[in-house]
Amino acid sequence: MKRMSRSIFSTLLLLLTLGAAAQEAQKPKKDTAKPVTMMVPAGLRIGLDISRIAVHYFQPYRTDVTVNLDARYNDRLYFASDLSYNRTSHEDENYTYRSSGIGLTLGINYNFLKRQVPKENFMIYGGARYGLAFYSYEVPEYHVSSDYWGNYTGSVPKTSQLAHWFELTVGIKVEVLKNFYLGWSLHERLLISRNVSKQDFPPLVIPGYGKGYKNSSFDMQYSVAYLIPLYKVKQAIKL
Amino acid sequence: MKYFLLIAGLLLAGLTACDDDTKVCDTDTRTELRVAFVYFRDSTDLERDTIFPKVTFGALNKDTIYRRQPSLTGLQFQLDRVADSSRFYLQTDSTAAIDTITFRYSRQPKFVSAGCGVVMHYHLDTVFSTRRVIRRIQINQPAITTVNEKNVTLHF
Repeated sequence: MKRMSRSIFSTLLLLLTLGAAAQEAQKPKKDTAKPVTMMVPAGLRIGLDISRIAVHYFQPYRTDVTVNLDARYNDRLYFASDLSYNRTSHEDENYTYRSSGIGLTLGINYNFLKRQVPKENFMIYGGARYGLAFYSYEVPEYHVSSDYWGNYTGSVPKTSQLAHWFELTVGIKVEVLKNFYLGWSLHERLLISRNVSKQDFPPLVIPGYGKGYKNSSFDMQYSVAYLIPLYKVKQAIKL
Repeated sequence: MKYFLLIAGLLLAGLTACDDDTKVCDTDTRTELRVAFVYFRDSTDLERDTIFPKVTFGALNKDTIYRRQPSLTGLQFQLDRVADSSRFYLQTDSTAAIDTITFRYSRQPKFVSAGCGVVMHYHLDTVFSTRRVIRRIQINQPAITTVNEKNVTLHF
């Protein structure tokens, strides 16, 4: 699966590079015209990560909700944040596990595409985030089986923890209807709180981060979003 | 181009969501103590790995783990998961005297993966035995984990 994740990451990066390169190729060779600056509508874009529905379908023990927020700061730069909620409840012959918590990421996105049409709202972006999650979990029962000695049964009492991480992201957003966007993003997260994943029984899921027993986590989001126009920003447009 | 990217991303997001670690256990979860036999030769003053012809081995008051097992160069077995010591008997040949070996250790349950669950890790503190056949006991690696390492050498 790790290999598949890397392949997905590589494939989509290649597609994004091609997308950005295609725009470069469309540039006239000897263009001496100066870019025009104009005011364009901007505001708060609120999105919902619908890929969490697929995650719940394939991994029924996980219930996740992720809300994406971003707000345009200037021509290319966006402030971005994700709010996440996770509830995990897993039970098999090896262990029973329960957890819940919330996560928050704060950071920026940078749009790699230069706008050529004032109202064109298509962006290929890269970004960085700092993430923080507060969650609690418990393992009411786990078993260490042995045919010879018999099974050992133990438990981990309910504990509350804080985890934080650094995150890099690339993605796209396309305006498919007026102020209505679809987009996806790839996320590579590096856990700063390494002590969390090295515990004797680490959390299965850290809200907003992913698998709590791994020091790095790959994720993909697919979001629907609505832009609430609130203000205007200056934008350079090459006509 | 942008709509092609949207559709490609949708398909790949679906693929990424399939990654359920609780269904897969692809690592070795055995935490077994590994013992090697070494035989002391007086004539050359050297110790060499040795093979015993009919080894019988098991925990006291439990079933045998090895019953007259031929051609053994060592032992591989589980320690008690509930107690901090385990006692075993060892007979290297059907006519040889029986030695009793005691392992004292600390235990630590350790999460392996979402699919495999928890295994028991041990740390050997002391090992001692009767000296009918066994001459000396050496701890090589006190940590008993899923790593395949020689933990103890029995010198005969």
